[in-house]
Amino acid sequence: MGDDGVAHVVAEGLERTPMPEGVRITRGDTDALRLPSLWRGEGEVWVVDAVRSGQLPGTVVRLQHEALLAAGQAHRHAHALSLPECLRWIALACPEMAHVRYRFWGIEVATVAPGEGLSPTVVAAAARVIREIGTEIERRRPGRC
Amino acid sequence: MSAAGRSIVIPHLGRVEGHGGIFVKIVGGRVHEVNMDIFEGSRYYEALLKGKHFLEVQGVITRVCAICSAGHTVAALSALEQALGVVSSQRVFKLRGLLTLGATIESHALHVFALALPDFLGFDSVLSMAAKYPQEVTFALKLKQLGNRIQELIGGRAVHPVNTLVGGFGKLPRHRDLEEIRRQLQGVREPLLGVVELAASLEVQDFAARPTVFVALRPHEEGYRFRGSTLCTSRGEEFPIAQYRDVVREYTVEHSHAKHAALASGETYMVGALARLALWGDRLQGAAREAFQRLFPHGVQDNVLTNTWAQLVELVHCVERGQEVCEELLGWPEEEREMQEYQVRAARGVGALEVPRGTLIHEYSFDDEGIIQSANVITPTAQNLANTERDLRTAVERLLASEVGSEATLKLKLEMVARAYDPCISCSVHVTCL
Repeated sequence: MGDDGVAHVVAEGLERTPMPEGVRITRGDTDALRLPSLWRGEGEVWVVDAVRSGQLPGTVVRLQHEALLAAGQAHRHAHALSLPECLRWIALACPEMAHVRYRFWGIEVATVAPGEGLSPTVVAAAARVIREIGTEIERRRPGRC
Repeated sequence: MSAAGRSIVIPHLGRVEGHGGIFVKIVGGRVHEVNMDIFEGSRYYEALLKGKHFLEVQGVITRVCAICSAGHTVAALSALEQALGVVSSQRVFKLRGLLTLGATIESHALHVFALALPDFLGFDSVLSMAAKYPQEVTFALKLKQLGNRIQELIGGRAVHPVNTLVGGFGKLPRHRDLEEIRRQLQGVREPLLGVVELAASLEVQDFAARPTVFVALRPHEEGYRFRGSTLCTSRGEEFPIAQYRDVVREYTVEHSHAKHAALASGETYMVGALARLALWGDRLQGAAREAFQRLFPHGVQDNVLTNTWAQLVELVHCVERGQEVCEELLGWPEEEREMQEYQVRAARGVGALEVPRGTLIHEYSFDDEGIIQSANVITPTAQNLANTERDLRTAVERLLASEVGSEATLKLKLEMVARAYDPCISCSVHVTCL
């Protein structure tokens, strides 16, 4: 993969970070409609993905729950279901997932052609997201004020 | 229209950055050029496999595509085991069959409900469709998830199976899990037949219809099955799959990164659900047979737009056949694992099976230490590309002649033709569009 593999790099970085009990890191691969099986039983889900939103490569797009679910229908046709569309479909079809709250970190890609790893700006963005998520989890660690 | 003509360009057919689309050139009122380009990465995987041990093949080759990972797994194992002279036990054979059924349920459910039905019902997406058809949209995701669950149980996880091994399975499913799958399959049967009735009420247009050669594997036993070792055409020809190179000619075209394919005679052909029904639909049983008769009252016609209905018939078949296979598996005593012994030797093997989009062929050769010397994968999408272009040409000519309306309408109809083949493009890139 090219920059579209950035979420795997973030996952690897987070896996090297000690996580408190109750936090787990999973890889969802490319089919967002499979995600409910990974998230069953969870109350909060943070998603990291490569994005294309027209901003400069390496830009980090942060969306809270409502903004993510309300994100526009970006597909050009039905063959390209986007993550927000998949989440809306999941919300519609899986009432047991209705309580799940999402947060989203998207990293703007430079190239998605098959290649040898990530471009430098996307590597730097991945490092920022790893630090940011790690800090956020640490802030929420039980026992911290 | 200018003397230089005009072009109809659909730049993106899906998650294929810069490589997927339709290009039509019209000069002097005549269709001059029709190109469809889908980037396909399997060539890289074949090169990547060279020099690796054959035991690494499955883990690498399933990464060709997340949606088709089970199909690539079974095809690769068939080819490797054929080379090694391994004859699968009945239980292993049936478990791989159940894995294939699960993958087909998942894939067809997504295509029929989310990707094609919105076209037929006049919606721009499955979510828009939910306003009028909430039950169908909810059911679609449940059905897809059941396909995932079957793959997870048999393959060890929903994507890129790890439990499927050369010689057998690392872990066999528990009876209680098989019983649960059988119960869930039983539960989706009635709602699915309701969708068949909905589909039967819809008109399928024939603007892309033209004489087509259908190709599919002859099922390995009497009945409608997805595995076999003989490639058959709707013209009555039959070829052992080991000789596929004499029958299927791959070739490169200037406008496409993916190879195209044709029969040795030069004719393009179609593989997939419609081809399977054309050749073997008379072998369907039960509700699948009734669905076939309901949706194809005059038999299979040369119209790719009916491929979606063929997939719907196969969904009914998979749901019924899945229950039968579960029952057969429950007839064996529960065991932890099942593996066949084998000796490594220098050999070549070819494996094929019918995956959701058509005939998938894998070929490997390795030396006496099991190191891969060559690998070749021919996907259904590659086989269908040249035929897709011919259908698109027919569609453009007819639509222009009938003055179909706006260019947007023309583009939508051309996309419908391409979509009807259910080309596998979702694995190429993974980018969230915001």
